[in-house]
Amino acid sequence: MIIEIVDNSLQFLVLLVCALVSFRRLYCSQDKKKWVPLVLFYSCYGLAECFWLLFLALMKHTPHFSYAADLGWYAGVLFLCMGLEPLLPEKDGSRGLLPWLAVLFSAAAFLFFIRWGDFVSNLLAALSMGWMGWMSLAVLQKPGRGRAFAWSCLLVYCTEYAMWISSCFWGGDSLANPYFWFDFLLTASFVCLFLSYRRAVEP
Amino acid sequence: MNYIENIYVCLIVPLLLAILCSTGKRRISMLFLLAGMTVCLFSSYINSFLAQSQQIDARLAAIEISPLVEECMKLLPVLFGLLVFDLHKRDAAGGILMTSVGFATFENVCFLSANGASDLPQLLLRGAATGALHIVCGYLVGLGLLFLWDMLWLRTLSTVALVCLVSIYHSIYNLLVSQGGWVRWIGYFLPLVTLIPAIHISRYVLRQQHL
Repeated sequence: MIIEIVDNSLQFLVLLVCALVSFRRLYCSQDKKKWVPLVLFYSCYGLAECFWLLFLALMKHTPHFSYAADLGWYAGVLFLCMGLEPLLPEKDGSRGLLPWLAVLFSAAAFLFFIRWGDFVSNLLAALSMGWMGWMSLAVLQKPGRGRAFAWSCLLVYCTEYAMWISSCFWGGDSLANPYFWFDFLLTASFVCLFLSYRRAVEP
Repeated sequence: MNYIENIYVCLIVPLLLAILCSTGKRRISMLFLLAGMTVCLFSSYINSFLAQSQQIDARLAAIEISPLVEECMKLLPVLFGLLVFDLHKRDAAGGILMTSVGFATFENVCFLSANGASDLPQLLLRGAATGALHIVCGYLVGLGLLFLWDMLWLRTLSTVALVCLVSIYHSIYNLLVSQGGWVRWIGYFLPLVTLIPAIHISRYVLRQQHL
């Protein structure tokens, strides 16, 4: 549990810093609506992380239901989708079939994970992540400043699924467990999100 | 038995009379206040049912189940107004706030009936913290509605995501106040501290929307 607390604490700190820096950008920006999705993404993820951390620290066990924290993570993904939406290519025809690869992967992952978790939370995860993956791959096809942000979102997508798959084959509460490597990579991807989003929305 | 339904009836009768006698914006505000108290009552039934069905104690239910149930229930009156009466966006945002106030008021009354009214400092702090919590949650969802009103899909998506956000915030509050000692004090002061930036941001958004 110590490694989990250290891992979650580090992630929470990074999310807090990113949220504060994004909020400062929103405050100073002329077009404030552009920064709202990223601020809310960091807030959702950060609050969910904070709840998980506080629960572990105060109650000495993981929550009975993971809905409370999971909803924050799903909401964060929805806000990432809202951030990707203005960067989408204009014509449907130019998106091709590549974005549907993410939907296919999420559907397959849903069928894989259904053995462990409950139906509703797996379905919500598949829908939100599938949508984010679809939008990231669609934005990648449009040349421009938004591609870096799309790559960052794909990094979040891939590391989340890598974490979830490795959690199904739990290797213990130690650094040898791949789950924690992917979680540290996810923490780094949150910083990439900010840097790439700034490049996408600011002139 | 704490006869909370009887207390509910005593509280809403004057409100109902006032609603009948008033018109316009005042009537809308009081309707949402009444709706807030009503959904608080129904939330308590749903929370009790879910706690029983999942076989967890009241403390864990308050941390893990109640926040999501309460935030979803608080949204229902405004959703009804939007779908049936096609509310203006200012009325919708104000409606969420008044629903939150009604909810917080009735929740405090439930607390009083269960725990007595003798400890005034504790009641003041608890009342202020709970009121501030529900108002901050109401502000966040209301501001999201106002700020992202333009496109239906954006408005819907952001409302869903903001309800999730405020549910987490509510869960953190309930987790902190369920503990003892200094942790509980942090829990009580958390909504009071976040209320100040919430008011500041809401005034900014209202100015931007020319409302």
